[in-house]
Amino acid sequence: MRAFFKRFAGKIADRYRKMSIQMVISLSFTTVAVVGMVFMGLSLYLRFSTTAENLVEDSSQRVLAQVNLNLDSYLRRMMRISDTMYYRVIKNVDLAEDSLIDGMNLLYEENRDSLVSIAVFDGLGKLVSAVPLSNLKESALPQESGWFQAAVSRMENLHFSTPHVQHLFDDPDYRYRWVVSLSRHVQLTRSGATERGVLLVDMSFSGIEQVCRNAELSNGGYVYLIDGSGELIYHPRQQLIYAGLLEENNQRAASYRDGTYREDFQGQSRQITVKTVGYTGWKLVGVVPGESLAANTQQMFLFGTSLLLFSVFLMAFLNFRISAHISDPIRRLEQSIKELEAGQEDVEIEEGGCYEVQRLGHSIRSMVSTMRHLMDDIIQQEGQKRRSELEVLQSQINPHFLYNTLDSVIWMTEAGRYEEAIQMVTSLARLFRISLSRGKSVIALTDELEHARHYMTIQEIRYKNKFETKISAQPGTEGLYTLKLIVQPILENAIYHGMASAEDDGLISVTARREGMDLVIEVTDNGMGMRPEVAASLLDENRPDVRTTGSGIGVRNVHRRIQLTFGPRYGLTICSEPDEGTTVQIRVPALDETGAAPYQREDGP
Amino acid sequence: MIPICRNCCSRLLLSGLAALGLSVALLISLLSGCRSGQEAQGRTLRVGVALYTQDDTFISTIVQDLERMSQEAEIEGQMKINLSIADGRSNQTTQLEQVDGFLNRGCDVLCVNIVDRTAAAVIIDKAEEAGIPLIFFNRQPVAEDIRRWDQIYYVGARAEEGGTLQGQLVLDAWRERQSDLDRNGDGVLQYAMLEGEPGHQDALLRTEYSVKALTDAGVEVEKLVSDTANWNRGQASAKMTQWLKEFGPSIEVVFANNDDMALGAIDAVRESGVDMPLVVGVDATAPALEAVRSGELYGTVLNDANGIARAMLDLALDLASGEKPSDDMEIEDGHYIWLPYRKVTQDNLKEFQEDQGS
Amino acid sequence: MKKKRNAVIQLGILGFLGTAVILTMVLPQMADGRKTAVPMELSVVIRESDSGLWSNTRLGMEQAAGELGAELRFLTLSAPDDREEQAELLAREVSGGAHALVVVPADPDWLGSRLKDLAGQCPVVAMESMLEEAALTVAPDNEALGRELALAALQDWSGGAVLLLDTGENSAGVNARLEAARRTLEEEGVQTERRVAQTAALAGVLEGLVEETGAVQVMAFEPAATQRAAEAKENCGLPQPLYGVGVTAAVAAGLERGTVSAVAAWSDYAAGYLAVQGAVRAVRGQAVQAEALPFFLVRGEDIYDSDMQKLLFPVTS
Repeated sequence: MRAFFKRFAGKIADRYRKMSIQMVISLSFTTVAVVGMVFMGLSLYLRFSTTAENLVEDSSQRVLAQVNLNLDSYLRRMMRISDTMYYRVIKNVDLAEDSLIDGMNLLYEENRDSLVSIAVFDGLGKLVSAVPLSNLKESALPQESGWFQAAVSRMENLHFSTPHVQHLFDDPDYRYRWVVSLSRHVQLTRSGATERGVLLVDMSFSGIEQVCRNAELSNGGYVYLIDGSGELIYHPRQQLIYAGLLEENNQRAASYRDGTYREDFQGQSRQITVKTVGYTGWKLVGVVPGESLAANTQQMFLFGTSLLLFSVFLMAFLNFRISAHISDPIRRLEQSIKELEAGQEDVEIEEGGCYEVQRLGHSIRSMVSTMRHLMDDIIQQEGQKRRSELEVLQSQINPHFLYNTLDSVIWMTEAGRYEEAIQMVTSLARLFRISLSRGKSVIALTDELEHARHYMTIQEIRYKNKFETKISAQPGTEGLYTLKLIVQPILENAIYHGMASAEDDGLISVTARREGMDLVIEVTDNGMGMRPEVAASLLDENRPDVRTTGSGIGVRNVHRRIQLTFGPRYGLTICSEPDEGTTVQIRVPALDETGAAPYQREDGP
Repeated sequence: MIPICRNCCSRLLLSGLAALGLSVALLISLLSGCRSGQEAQGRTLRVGVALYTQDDTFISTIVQDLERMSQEAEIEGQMKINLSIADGRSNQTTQLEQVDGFLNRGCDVLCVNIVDRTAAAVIIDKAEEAGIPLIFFNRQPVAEDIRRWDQIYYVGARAEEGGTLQGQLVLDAWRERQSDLDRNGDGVLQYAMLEGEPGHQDALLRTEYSVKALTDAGVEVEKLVSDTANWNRGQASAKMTQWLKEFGPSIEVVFANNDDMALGAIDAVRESGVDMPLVVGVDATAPALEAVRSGELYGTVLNDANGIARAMLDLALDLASGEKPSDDMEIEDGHYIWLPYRKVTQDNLKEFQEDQGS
Repeated sequence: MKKKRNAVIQLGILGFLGTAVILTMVLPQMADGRKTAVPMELSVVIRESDSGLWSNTRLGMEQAAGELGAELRFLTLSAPDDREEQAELLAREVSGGAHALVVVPADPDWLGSRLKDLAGQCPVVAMESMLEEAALTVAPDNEALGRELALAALQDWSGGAVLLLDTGENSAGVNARLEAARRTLEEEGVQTERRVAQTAALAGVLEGLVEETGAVQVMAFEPAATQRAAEAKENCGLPQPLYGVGVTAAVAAGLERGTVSAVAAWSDYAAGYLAVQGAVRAVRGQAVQAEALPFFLVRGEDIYDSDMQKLLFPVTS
């Protein structure tokens, strides 16, 4: 069992992980809503059915109370007639002289619709007076009737009988009427002497029927009346019961006390309300058949179920739509990122949906744009790097310088100036060796200065010793490293600009000294100098590259290289006075071998 | 959000409307099917007859005649006539319920023999609301009530006429054989009056007009005693027995508002052994005619039960078929159909019976 | 596309459930409407012209009609026991749209053979006598009834002939009672005289018949005859005890007075109720049980016995 549940739970967890956000939202909303509705529906239904039953019970009791009131007042009226008859008529009449007939007549006429007859009998059952019919049937034996005996046995009470057919009077129309007899013991006066008698007031059954008949209980219920022993007095379908075609649970009902009960009769469950009518001991019984109660609730149930189904489906439908609407922006975002990952170029990232999703979109968008910018920068840098390297590469092996120098060597050799030729070639070889420096970008200062010397040597020979070169390294610069090929271009520049017009007294001096953490190499010449604007524009990046005939990578290049490698604090500074001379100061950090290692670029020529 | 809602709503609305339309169409077709089924059965005239009590001989005669006549009318007229008879058992409330029952089950004409004359207004209101024409018979409501609506009719006999004719019977007899009748020879007619139900139109008017006929003709009358016997033979007999004890043979004439009571009086007289006074009744029921033949009952006045039934049926048929009743029948004041009374004595008994075809 | 199809399916289910909701709301009203739409028409044709004898039966019929939602048409013949007229009436009722017929056949054998043609699809309920082709017969066990009556008469018999009034003409039920009574009496060695008489004429004829046969007891086998015989007995002052069938008001009075010694009776009300109930059931296609009506013997003394009262006298005021 537990394994099964575990597996089941595992499956659900799996499904959950694979479900989209929309599915999760809509399913969970729907489930919650359904559970809520079912819960509410069930509780309402239960409440309804109990309330409905209680309502029916209440209404039955109320109806019965009303019927009881009416019946009570009806019976009281009858009793009052009997009382009036006795106290106002019988007691005031001496039978020897007078007759009861007038008083009887009056009373009868007044209550004609409720009474069938009023009769007075003496103690032996002989008729004294009666209205409206006065002849007894020959076969009538009043003294043996129940009402007579009841009256005689209990003198102090009024006796109500159960309904029966009146067979006392001789009716030429042969009418048989159902009556309820109200009998009492009376004292008759005859010639001053009192004797026993019985006053019989026969109430027409329709009076009672009238009171009980209109009582309508809810859901097709009905009211019936029984006497204390369970004998039926009134029932809406009395005739059928008397004919034996219908049965009623009246005997059982007689045993109930006042209140509401449920009983089962002939396979049907019903709600019974019992109320006792005062004085007579009769009981009013209200019956509400159970099936009508149930039918109502059944219909309610059917209605409720279909409503539930409908609203469940509606809810699911709506939830689906709403959750789709909420989760669509997220999905689109995810889609865009997928496209981005796949490498699509122009992906539109929208900022839609709720607040968090908007923020996400916004952030992603800025991240993407930053990424793009960075990528552009990188590309640019890479391009730049390529170009510089190319230039460096080119500069390292400048063909023009090489041709010229080799030409010089050739004519020197042809001219027989072998030692100068040997020197020139040697210097050239050394120059190039240092230029290459096995691909390193940072070399020892001594090597750099040597490179410069060799270059100057060549240039001196070429320029027929027009000028002199002094290269010196101050103490404190031992063991320092510097960027490759930063001096030579300056020298080249100095020769080109400064020495062109020199007259044998040209002097170019290269001095390397240490200034704190910096290494400063100064190249000074006493040539023409340049105007300050020209000096400034030399370092200007935006000036188009002027191809020099020298070894040519130019002053600007050096400046840029130094700045790119070491930062903006370093680089070249040019001071020039026209006609006085120019000093170019190269500032780089003072690095020893280890300090220079990070600047070493392995990607070679 | 809004566009989606609108989209959803429009689709939901459509489906909801479709469902509603379907079920409404279903309903209409079902209901119309039922109703058309009913009408297809052909024309049936439903008449609801509410009686005040079926025990009354006269009323039961009217009913029997009505039933027989409607059976005959069916054969001739090709229209079915369904009579529903309800016995009010002398109780106005019961009768009201029965009238309600008729109106609820659907009837085309209502015939009411009202229990309590003064309670007609309720029934008239009900009938007017339902648009069902109302025919009162035998027990006449007050004139104001009858005038309330133009579809109310009353079929009966003029009670004054009955009383007058009864009085004329006695008058003729008095004139013929005064010496016989006037037992104490004082030239004054001593009579006892057996009256019908208190408050009944016919009882009051017959009582008054019968004596009026005599006094108008200059005969001196003396009322010895009068009392109500509620149209009942047994009660009349009891009363008469009492009176005989009291007055004995000094009662020269017994007026009875109806034949049952007259017969009851005759029963009492026969029992007591006193000489039979002149007894007159009203109705001309079969037992009364027997008594007329045997001479015990001097005379009676025909209350045309047959005529009343005939008039009611014709009126109902006219109303149901939408014709104006006043075209074929004599309607007074737009509401009243009077049937004439007719004197019956031993002399004209034979021809009377031949006329009646009994 | 898939989205659209899903949407359509969802809307479809939504619409269906919506219809279901509306239907459950409306259904009870429709059911009520259908119930009250078609009242059933029942036609009752008795074989006599005086409907007073059938007033209790009619009460029972009307009660059943009211409860079951049927409309009743009560028809009498212009001349009693006129079988042709009865057949004609039946035919007319059927053509007039009656859903079911209740018949007290004047001539059951004759009617039975024609019933199929006359009634066609209409279910027929017979009262008093058995009708073949009838859906139901509501009648007491006539043979047993005759036998019981004869036994009651035997109790008081002390020799002499017994006059059996044959007034039933062609009514098989009545004749069955007569036959059963005759057989029972003859088994006990009682001499029986069977005389045919017209019910209507009994008043005048009875005395003559009694004299002619020298009967010590008179037996009648239908309510109308019993009533007339009782009247005749009183009018002529005949001393012979009368044994009859059926309880009308007059007969009950006769029982009280001693004019009628004993009567075999059944509850008319119940008979009427069961007849209409059976007819309605037959129309609705429900099962119809055929049970003989229970009957009982009433002697004058017992008439006001509380159970007897309930059976004999309808509860009216």
